[in-house]
Amino acid sequence: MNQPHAGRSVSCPSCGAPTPIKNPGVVMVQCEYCKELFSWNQGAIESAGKRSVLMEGFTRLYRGATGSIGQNRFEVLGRVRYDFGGGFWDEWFLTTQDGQGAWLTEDDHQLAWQTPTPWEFNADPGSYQPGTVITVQGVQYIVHEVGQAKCLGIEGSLPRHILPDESYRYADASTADGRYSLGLEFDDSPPSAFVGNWLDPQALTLDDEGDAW
Amino acid sequence: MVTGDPHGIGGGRPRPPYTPQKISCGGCGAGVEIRDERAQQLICPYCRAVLELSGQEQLVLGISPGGDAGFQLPLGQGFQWQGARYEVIARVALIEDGTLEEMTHEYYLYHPRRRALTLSEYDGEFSLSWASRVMPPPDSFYMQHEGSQLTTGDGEKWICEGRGTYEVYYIDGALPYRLSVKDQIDYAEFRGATRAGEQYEIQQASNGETEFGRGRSLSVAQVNRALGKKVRGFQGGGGDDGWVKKWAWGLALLCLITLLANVGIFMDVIAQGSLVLTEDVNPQQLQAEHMTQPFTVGHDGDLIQVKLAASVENAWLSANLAVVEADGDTVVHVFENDVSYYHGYEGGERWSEGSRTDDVYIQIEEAGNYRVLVGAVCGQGASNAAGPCYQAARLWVKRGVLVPHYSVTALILSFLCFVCALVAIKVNTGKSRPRDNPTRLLLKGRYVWAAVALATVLLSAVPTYARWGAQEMEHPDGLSIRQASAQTPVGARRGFFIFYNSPRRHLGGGIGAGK
Repeated sequence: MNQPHAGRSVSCPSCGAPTPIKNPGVVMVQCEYCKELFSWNQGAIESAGKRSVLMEGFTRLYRGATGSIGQNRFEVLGRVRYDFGGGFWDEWFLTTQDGQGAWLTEDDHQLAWQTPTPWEFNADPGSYQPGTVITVQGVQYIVHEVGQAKCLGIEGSLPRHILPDESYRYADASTADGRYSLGLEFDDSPPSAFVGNWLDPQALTLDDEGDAW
Repeated sequence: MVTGDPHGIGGGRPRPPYTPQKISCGGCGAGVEIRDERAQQLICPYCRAVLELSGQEQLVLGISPGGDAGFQLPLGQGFQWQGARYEVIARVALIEDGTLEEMTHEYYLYHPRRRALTLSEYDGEFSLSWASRVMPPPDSFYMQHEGSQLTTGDGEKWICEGRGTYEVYYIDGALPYRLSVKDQIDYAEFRGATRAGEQYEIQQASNGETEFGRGRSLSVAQVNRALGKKVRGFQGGGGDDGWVKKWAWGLALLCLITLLANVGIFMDVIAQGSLVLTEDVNPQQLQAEHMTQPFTVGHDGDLIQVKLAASVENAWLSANLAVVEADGDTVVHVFENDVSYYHGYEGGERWSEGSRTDDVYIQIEEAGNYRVLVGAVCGQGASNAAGPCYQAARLWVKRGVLVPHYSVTALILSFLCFVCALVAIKVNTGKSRPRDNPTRLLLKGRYVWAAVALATVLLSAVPTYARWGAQEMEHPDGLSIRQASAQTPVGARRGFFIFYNSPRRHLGGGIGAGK
């Protein structure tokens, strides 16, 4: 078994239980035992004063799941769930065998591989409406949804600071053929953008698919 | 505390078990299981309370109307598809044009680790669909009509099979979105232009949200395999299983009943009346104006039929007639009868047109004794020039009659309705797919059809028995024949009709205007 990077563990400031850190980018952790959220950054640990519980068992991915995308092995480290008013979607944080972090967005059990892209867009969320066309590196994306996302909860380890009930404006766009997505998140200054590639379900395999339920 | 324990990929964590959430219904307190954590709405299976699940607390929004929506599959039904077992967790019945016969049954198929599927059934045809991100060209929805072509963003070509508006008729189970009975959903459905069985759909909800769907048609055998049991469906034989057969037979029965009713009315009409006068009038009498023997009208408002016949051959006879009181002088009504009959050979075919008889229905205001005054001019061939008649005519008068025109018209209409219904049954062979079924096309106007069939009886009965359609008396106060005859110019031929009418010319009919 490859062990591409050495891990470390942090102890929960609330209950003391250890949580392994499996990716060097991780800055936020949920204690697996008491569900306390705490940050870990440059050796300093601080409790967020919040607990978060997300139901498990209803998704293909799950925290701690291992599998492959092509030749790349990965392990799911954490998840953020966002509410968009008419439902929710999940964003899964993965670490790969070469120590890289990656995000997968899950919507109706469909997964998209997300990659950050430089911000080169209008920072005014109001300038995006369904039907607005955005061109990124010569590819046209059509906005199909704009709204307010609210964090419903997190679990596991994440490479960013986010807490339940935090919210931000977003605009979701897609190429006309439905293969690629563009997500604009007006959460920080500057805001962030991700391009995504919707995965064929067979492109990702889990060691434990669990088709029986 | 930070330690230096190494961690790698591959150990994994056991998959957490799938454990449906259990809640108590806010309406009745019954324990209800929520299979899908994405569920936004649940209809309580016990009290049909609509439970809003999207917030932190469960809300009871109201009671969803119940009723028999005719689903073939129950909630909880398993559906084996591509190696995984899905389960029906919600059902939606959709109608179109407000008619329950145009009902689509949708089964929401859930799997906790796969995208949701929808199994749809419309008139025995099944399809499986799922949400798609493939977009049509912008603003193309409202340009779609049956037969129009669409190219989606992935380059696929589609042919529109129809556009319309669904109305939600019934819901149960748990749905990942809010939906209410009577919600309206505009849709446009497409079939693959090059790939048989492939489907594409655009749906627009009343709140403006647009969804796209991909799908494929399933045979009944495929559905049966996926369900592990048999369902009713279209299998390419034995006729259209849905409402079509029932409607075709129902309309045939209705049309037959109305046809029989109209036959009965018609038979009653022709059985009415009694002959009170038969009189032959020779050519000289026709030329000079002839007064018939008296006849009796027994009731005020009685209808009489005055019928004239003449053995014309490629000729015409135009008669002026008048109803005269028994004194032989007071004219109460003036009318006309025209007969013309032409026949011959043309292009090797025998032809004929016109009739040797003509009749008029007149309503007599007062009971009493009356006569008929008759005079006529005749013509030959295509000529409109009037001359003396060389053939006799016969007059009949019947009293107490009914005007048959309405019942004849209704009889023809109801007969046509019945024949069309028989055709609808005949062409419903089941060899074509339901949407191509000619019977279904015929039945698109089924409500109008049924209404017309029923209306024929009213059309027949009401005006017939209300004694509509007869001529009303033109001169109830009477005109004097003697005074009228006296006013004819000196030297002119004497007679009532000479004064009443200018000499008549036959216009129309005949060889010149014939076949």
